[in-house]
Amino acid sequence: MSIVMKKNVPILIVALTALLFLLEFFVFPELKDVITMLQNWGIILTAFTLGFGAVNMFMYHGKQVSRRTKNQWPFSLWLLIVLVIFTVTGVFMGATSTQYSWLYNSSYFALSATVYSSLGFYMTSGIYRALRAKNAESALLLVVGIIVLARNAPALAASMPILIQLDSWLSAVPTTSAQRGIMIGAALGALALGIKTMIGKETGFLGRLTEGEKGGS
Amino acid sequence: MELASIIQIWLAALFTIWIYTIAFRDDAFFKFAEHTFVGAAAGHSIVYGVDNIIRYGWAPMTAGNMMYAVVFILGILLYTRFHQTYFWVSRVPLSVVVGIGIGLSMRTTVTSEFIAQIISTAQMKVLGLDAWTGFSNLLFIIIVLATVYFFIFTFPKAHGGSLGIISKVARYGMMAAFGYSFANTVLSRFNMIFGRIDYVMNTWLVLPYAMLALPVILLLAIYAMIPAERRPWPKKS
Repeated sequence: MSIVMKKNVPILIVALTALLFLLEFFVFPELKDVITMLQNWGIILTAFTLGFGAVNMFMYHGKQVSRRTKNQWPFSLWLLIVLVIFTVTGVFMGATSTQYSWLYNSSYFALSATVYSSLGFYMTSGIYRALRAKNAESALLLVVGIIVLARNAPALAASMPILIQLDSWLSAVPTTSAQRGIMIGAALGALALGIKTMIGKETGFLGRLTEGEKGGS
Repeated sequence: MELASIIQIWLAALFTIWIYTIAFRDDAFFKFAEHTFVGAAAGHSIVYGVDNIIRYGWAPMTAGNMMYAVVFILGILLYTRFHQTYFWVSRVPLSVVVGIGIGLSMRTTVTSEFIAQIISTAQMKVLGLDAWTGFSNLLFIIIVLATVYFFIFTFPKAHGGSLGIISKVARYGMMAAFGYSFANTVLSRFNMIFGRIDYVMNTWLVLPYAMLALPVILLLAIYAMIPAERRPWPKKS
């Protein structure tokens, strides 16, 4: 198949789809129905891509089980069993069914809360490394970090009310302003990336390119 | 209490304890809980993916809107990515997803992250206020401008010489913001840890036999942390 079909047509589809969204928003609001349908298409296609994860997981962990990889295959087998139990229960009985809710609350809910909270242990060691006054910038990070931590310790905040005022000022002025600056910078970056993708200068989404496709227009 | 609820609490508490054993050392119980989490997370996302396909695609299609048949064909074409020769076909549906993503992000970026932010910064008053508020607003505007300058003008000359003061102000502002965000993230994680400990202590340990089971569970976890060759039992023949 020609490079036109393999590379140029996908870029054209990206440009036309994105342009349609921009036109509807800025110029032709009457295209709303088309955009709503396209948004639904996006939701459906994103749902289809979730299957990739499942297929990859089955390929990787299936290989571990079939090879009987030491200290790994029983866990891989268990992972696949859990995946199948969740999928079958959720799809056939419904995501709001009692059975699925029971499964969800006894494993996924508890595990996700615990896994995310366990990052607190790593962050504690991260604090030890990050909050060191090596220069003016890191000293500022240290001072602001300590003020926020101290303000959230009830005993300290009660005995030093100035911490509450300092925390409010730090949140309202330096934090919000720097985040606003970062947001504007990131917005410009996102716009540039969008335009580059639309005109075919950014082709990362195409995945692996053959030598001919890399050189082709 | 119902037996199903009791089993649910026991499972949730066991998974909580097993995940926390990683704070000391990697062990079989942690790996078991970790693999359960990954399997459950993947299964959960598939369930909601299927639900979305039915709700946003299958239902309108069976109601007569055949435009949704196209998206099902595109969805199936995504899987040609696994084929050695025809993997490029998957670029067509992927382009639709990327196009939708770019279109949505560009229009929201322009309005909410770009114009709205500039307007609210430009509307800030510096004069005619009390000294502290005026100073704070002036500092706010200076940090916003310096940070934007820092990200737009990335060539080395823009950050050296007399212009270096602008990027220095931006760095100070950003470090203060990162310090604030980092400390808040640490606090929120610890809040979650307290939540889990509270669950174990006040929901699980109050159940019959839980207090008896706790030392056994902890001993088993400690045993699992010992490397296999150094375990006192079972001896390798």
